[in-house]
Amino acid sequence: MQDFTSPQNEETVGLKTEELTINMGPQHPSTHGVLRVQIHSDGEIIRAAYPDIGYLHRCFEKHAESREYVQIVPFCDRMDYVAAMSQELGYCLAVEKLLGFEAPERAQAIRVIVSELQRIASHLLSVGTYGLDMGGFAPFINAFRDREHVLRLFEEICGARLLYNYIRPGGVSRDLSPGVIDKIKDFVKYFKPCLDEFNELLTYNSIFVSRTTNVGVVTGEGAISYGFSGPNLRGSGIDVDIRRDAPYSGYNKYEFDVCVGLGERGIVGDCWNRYFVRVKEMYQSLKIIDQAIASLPEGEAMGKISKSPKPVGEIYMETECPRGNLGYHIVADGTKKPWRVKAKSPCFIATSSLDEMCRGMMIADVVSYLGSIDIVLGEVDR
Amino acid sequence: MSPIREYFQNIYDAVTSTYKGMRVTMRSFMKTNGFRKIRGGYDYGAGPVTISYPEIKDDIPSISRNRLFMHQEGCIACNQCAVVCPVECITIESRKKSEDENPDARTPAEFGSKPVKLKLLRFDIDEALCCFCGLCTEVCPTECIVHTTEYEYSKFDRDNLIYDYLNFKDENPLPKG
Amino acid sequence: MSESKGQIATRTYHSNPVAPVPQVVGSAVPKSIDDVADALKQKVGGDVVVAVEKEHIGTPFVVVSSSRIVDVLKFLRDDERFYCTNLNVVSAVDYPAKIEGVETQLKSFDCIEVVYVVQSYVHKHHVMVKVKLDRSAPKIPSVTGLFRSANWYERECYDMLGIHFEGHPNHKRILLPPDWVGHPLRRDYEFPEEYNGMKVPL
Repeated sequence: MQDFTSPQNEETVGLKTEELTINMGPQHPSTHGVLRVQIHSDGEIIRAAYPDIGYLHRCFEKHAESREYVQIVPFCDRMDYVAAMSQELGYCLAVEKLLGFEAPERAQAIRVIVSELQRIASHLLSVGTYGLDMGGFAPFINAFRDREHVLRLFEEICGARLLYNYIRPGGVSRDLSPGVIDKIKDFVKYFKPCLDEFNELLTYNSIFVSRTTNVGVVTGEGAISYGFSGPNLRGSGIDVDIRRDAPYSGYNKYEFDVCVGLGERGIVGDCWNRYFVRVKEMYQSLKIIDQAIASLPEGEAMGKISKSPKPVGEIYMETECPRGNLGYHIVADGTKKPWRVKAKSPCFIATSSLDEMCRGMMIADVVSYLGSIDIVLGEVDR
Repeated sequence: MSPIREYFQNIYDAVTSTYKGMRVTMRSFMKTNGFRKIRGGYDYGAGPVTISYPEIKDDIPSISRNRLFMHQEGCIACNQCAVVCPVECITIESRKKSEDENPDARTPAEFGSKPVKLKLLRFDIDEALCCFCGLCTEVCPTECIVHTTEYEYSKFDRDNLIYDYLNFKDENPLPKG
Repeated sequence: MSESKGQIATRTYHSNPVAPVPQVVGSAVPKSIDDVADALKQKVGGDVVVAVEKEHIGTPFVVVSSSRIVDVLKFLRDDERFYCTNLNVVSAVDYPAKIEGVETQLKSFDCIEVVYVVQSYVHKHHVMVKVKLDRSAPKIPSVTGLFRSANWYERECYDMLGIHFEGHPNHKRILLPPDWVGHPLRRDYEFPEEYNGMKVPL
């Protein structure tokens, strides 16, 4: 990273300079939500950037203390509203572990199909808006056209487009009908050439490459220390994936590769590699959906579990969400309502890295870095 | 690489990558085989995907969870929906029936023919608070509370969104079902 | 741009002292929470470990004394057998005093518990460490020097439960406005009627 200190020559010696305080305010088209970043900059180069969050705090943890376990699932959806199925899955797996219950195999396979479809939809939004932030409108439109197909599929599966309340403790609320399975197969066949087309449009475009390579480089050790997880961590070269290392919900039956940033363009750990890990993950999700549909077992979609379960114990469980590792720390005391539910959100930690990473960057690079770490403010603030 | 070679390599990279992107857009532009089929399935990738709402409306699946509707002849005032609602948007008031109020009444056949022991005084749903989770429709024993497919019911005042299902008057009458 | 194709970043962007990745694994890797407690007693000090809980359903954990938390987490991070370089979460739970005559299955009473979960990517295990604090004046040393991610986790614990982290570089509220009164996740929290002239809806 070059050192952009202002050059001192005969004309500028003796002139007074001040630091400029700019507010990248809560309303901004590129901050992916209501995030306020207070930037102190010396001209164009940033000296300090303080993120300020809490504009979308909706007291998830306080609500969860006064509601039953099944009633908390709609609240879990609304944390990361872009990838709602993954949030529900993490919570329901934690509750099931406390009850000592394993969902039926058909329910597990349906959960995998739905999670991977959700991963595709979430990554499409992330790469589409990243292209929009970098100035290209066509990738955004292409990504949202394909995301629209996924949302329509979800509407056929469970009745809602964005906030599903589908995955419950014990299974899923409604079985897949045969018509829907054919539609999912059609979608998978249609989507792969669309991804290749998207690569042609954005990934190797020279303007995009020059704006995102060598920007916001996070080394492997730095990423672990910051607490990054998911595509942010894999973009820095660390080979970690919960679906492979500690599989849940039947992921050990499916074969897929873990995509790691390899440095095809730029340096491993820069914005381009984090973005490209997301694109590669979409290919792997299609592979998993194919295998899951081909081996979908017969059976029930919801196990024999009481309508208001009463678990006891304390657990911390992590699952792989599109944005990182979402963890739930649940303390249960044997009544119908939990004592404490804490949601550890990966976007919270990714936003905390803004302060140190933005020093020495130009202001336009802040937009590039924010887009590459892929935050959704609903999850940051909960 | 020498600077001159790098200079021309940059120009070549810029021109080819921009050409590739424009080629993708041109290909979509040239697909003029009409609007995609809306009914009966998706014809993926067959032309423009924009539909001119509100003249043309997309068909939504019948299980879609939009505005709630309650058939009052099917309600037995069991209070399950109000208890299970995560945001407490349903208000129910009822009292025991007196002797001359037909104590052996049952709900109609399509609602399971269950005995009605309580008289329903008030049943309000605040649709502005409703989170469309579908939990109330799952626990109702007579299935009298259902999600319809109606999504165009905006009002200018938030108080107009508190629907009183005992005296239901709909300003924009669309088929309920 | 073209000369940096495929180059792995060699310069360290941060001066975070982390031990080199251990080469010898296998039988030395700990198998259960008892191994963790034994190693802590041997290497950090005899009086560090207060209790080991593994009978309940869920994640087993070890309770340590609050003044030595920095040493415990430093040992877990740097020792070759554990190598827990990733701090997953810093969570806090409030337990009010036991009410006589009320049956409950909770195990802790009249304390605030702070829960640290650290994870190792090399050995693929995670360790849950708990600390019990006094409810009237909860204070604990901050671990921000060991893990950068602890910075915002601790700010959130302060915001929600009022725990004071000694040595934290930026000890301010994070989710709630800076002039909010009270710590919401405490069990005896009362919702305010008004905030700056606006009515607080319940």
